[in-house]
Amino acid sequence: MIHEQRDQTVKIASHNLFRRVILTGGGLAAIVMLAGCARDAPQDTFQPAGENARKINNLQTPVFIAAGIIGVIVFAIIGYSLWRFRDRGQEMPEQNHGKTSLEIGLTMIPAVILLIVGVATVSTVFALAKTDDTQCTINVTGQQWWWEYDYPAQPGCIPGGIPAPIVTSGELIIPTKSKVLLHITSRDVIHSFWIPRLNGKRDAVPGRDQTLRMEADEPGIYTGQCTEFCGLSHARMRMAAVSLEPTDFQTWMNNQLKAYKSPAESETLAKQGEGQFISNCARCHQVNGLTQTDPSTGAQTPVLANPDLYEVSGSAPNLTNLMTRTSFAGATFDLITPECRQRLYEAKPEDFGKIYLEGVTPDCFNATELREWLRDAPAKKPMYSNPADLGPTGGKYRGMPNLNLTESQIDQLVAYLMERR
Amino acid sequence: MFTTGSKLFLAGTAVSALAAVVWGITNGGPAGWLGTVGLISLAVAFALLFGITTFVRDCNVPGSAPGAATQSAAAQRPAGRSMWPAIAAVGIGLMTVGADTRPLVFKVGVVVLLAAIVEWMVQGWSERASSDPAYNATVRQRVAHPLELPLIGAAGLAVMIYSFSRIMLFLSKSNGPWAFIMVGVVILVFAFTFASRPSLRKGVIVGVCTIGALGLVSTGAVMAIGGQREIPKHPTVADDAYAQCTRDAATTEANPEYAEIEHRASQHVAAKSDPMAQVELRNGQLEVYIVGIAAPQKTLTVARGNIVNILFVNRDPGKVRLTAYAGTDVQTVNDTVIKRPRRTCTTLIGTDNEQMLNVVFPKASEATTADDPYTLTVPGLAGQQIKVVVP
Repeated sequence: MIHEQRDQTVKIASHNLFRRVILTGGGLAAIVMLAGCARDAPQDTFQPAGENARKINNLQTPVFIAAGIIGVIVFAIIGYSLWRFRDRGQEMPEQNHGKTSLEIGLTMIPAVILLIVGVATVSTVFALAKTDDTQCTINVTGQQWWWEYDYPAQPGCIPGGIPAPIVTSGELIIPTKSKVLLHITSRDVIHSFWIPRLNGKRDAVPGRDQTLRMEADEPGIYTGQCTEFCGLSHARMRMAAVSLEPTDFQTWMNNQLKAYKSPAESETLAKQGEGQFISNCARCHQVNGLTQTDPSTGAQTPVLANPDLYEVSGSAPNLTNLMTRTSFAGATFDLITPECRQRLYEAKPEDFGKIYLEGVTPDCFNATELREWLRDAPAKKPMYSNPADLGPTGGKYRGMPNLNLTESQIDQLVAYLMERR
Repeated sequence: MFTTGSKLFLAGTAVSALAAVVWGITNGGPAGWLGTVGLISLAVAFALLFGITTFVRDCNVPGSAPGAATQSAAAQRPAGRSMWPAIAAVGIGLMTVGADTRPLVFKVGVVVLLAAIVEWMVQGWSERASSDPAYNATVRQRVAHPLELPLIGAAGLAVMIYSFSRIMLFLSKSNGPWAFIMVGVVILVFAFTFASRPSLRKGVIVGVCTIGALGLVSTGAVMAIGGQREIPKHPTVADDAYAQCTRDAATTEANPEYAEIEHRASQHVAAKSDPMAQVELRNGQLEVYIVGIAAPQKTLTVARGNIVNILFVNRDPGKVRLTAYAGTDVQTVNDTVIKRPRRTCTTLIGTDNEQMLNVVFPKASEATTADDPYTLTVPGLAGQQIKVVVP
């Protein structure tokens, strides 16, 4: 009698535990599933915004549905079999080899499904690898932990073409509805370029030139993330593709190609900032057109960055038109305030170009982020830039070191950089 | 004192010990001590077997024991006929021929001779193990199969792989995949048939597999005789060991300028699969082809401070090279400023040959002047250049 009561108690306790586990597990699974349903997810492959991403989506959606249905059927059959034929002390049923027709059928059905998926996948892969319909070519170079974009002089991109090379970073500007071909490579380790709403991933491998198609249906910002672990700040190696209407792209291009203008002598702070830039920043960062007076001849000579002497990757972002971008340091930190960022994200396609091309206006300037960066960059974004730890790299940095600038030097640099637009 | 069996192992001990001494004296380095240790180990093993066989008197049955007349070794049938002496003779013959021709033949002869001796010894021992031939066969298999089966399997696999390789090297690059797709389909069909008919006689399966293996080996042999298809040879620095980047094929004078030859360019198979650009010399025109830009260009834009892989193809007669000029390298040595042109080039390549050029442009084009840009040129070819722009 006592044994029976104890067994009953254990049975009830087990049943309650089972219920709790099912409820908790089911609840967690539902939360995780619902988290994937965000409509405003900026890096959602299920919300394609261009022809190439749409090709991928057209492939992945039916495959996911088929895989889901098959998965449910398989689990249901397994569950039913486990429950229906569980051990209840019955006699061992007759053992036989199986049914040949059923086995052939169960082999052929998956084979046919896989064949269909295989044909669709291969044709999509070939379609995504096409290069002969390219309208615009851009070189993309990854390094720890930011992306550089070079626009070769070319007849394409927009009517009239790009007359002279352009170099920028952080934000990849592409003309809307244009078939863009990216030539992707890396300067140091393997990275991976991925703008989920515009196309799949492509690894950036040192010494190799890999191509990736890119096309956006509408003007807007499409964000992405390096998807190959590449070191300390991999998570802060972000990217953004900015799609502009051809006329806006033309405006952007003209802006990038305009000649350097030194701050006027009357602009004391910015003029001093130019000097600070030459002293502290120009070793690695190039500003095209910046000159300085040669003390021996008195002539104006170009200020040339030598990042190959100081950086492992041999490169640092070109800052000629820094304030035409909305972010810096690997598209990680905003150059514009959260309000202006929101306004940009929520802009209608027809208004987007105008707002983006305004660049970093005084009203939108996020001085806090930039000042913090200039004050102590490694504190804001982890980088191998402690001078005491550079033995393995032969004294070269991975990222920007702390320059130990004073507050007044920072003021001057900020004033100078605000004019780089 | 010594039994018949122990004499064999005593001799083995003496020969191994002597060989260890001779090997150790005549061979130095890792091969010397490794061989000496191996031979001493062999001598120790022989000595151990010598001791055991002496102690147990070869397991001979005393004459007074029951059944001695039928169970003693002397009462067993002598070892029967064997093919192994003949095979050993073949091994010796190969060694003799190989000693005068090719080392490989000599080594094969040594292997054949050793295998024949071991098999002969095992056969001789097993056939006199007992008076029961069936038991004798079992003990022979127990001793010999762990050695025979892996070795025969490995040898068979090697023959198959070699035959495959001959077939692949004979067929053209376009026909090869089709041929092996067909072979794969045939294998799949037979495998499916065998699997779906468990009642199929074993002899049929063995027969089909044997015919397939013989077909593979004989096809491999025929194609080995036919020779390899023509495999393009990419010129290497060996073709032009003393090249300088500013010299054309006709110039032979020593050039004092700083030059860097890409010594391993033709080996960069991976890079060849996706060069950044292809520079072609055709009808005296030097042009660059970039994936994504339809028309050939005269300007190439590359990223600063990064390796650029350029494939150079010569479609014109004669030998030429492609030279990349990446500005001037300025160094201060003992207070003396030394300026040297930073040039990288391919070796000289002939008509319809191609060569990879790996080059780095460390400075932006800002560092150049209008009359001294970064370029790709062919020495000796006037008026043709690709301008390189580094943003």
